[in-house]
Amino acid sequence: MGRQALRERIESERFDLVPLNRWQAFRLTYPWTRDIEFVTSFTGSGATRSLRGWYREMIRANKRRRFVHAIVPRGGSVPIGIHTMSMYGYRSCRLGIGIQDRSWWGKGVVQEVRARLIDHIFEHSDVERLHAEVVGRNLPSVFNYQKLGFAHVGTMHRSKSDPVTGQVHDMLIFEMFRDEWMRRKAERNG
Amino acid sequence: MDEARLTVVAGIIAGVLGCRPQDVPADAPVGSLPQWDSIAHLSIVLAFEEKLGRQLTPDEIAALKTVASLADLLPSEAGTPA
Repeated sequence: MGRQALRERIESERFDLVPLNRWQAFRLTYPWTRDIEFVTSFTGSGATRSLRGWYREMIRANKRRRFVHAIVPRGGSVPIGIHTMSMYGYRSCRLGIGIQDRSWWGKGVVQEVRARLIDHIFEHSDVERLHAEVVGRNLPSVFNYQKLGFAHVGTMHRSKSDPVTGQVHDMLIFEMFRDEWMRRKAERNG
Repeated sequence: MDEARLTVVAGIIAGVLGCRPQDVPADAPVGSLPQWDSIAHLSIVLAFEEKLGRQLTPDEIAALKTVASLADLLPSEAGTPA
């Protein structure tokens, strides 16, 4: 199938989703690692990252199995966040998203961008299963996954720690299959 | 589900969303009301935890599906856990 379409620019109602290579993703996001609230939400840890450390930790976008898209408001040029997709295992794709620009929080960015990208993934790849892991206390993220139809399928208890706060977190596992997404989409479209 | 607990939860949700408690039905799915976005959800859960007197566990957070599922977590009027 046309997985190359995943490395193209994608448009949602209000945003351009601009594909980035690994270096571009690193350059965009490294300054954001100084934003403790953002980086904690995005990675589960507010630890300070070195240049080298973040380059190694960031998803290694290669535009073949791992993709990063900058989220750019239509008509603008400054990204407000990023979305990540990583194909792995049997027809599976792990998702991640971070909105760094607070002026866009609470404005439905995650719902809109993710819905558009999920449509795109299912249209242009053989992916059957979407998967995400969320820090248990990340309430907005849990909300967003569930509203899109992801099911909570398990919890990895005490599996992640934040070296800054010393807190140990449970990680919630969410997943959704292609047929469930298509069923929901058909319902939405009447 | 007793009405008293539902009334408490509807009051919390209405307070955050800026609507009337009677506009928050027990069977309403989380996020189904127009103002109920991810940030409002954060505020609702935090306000609920304050009322409950403890933090919800991640598994409890993941199990919140409807208004009634929040109410289920409140102790019953007799003081025994729901």
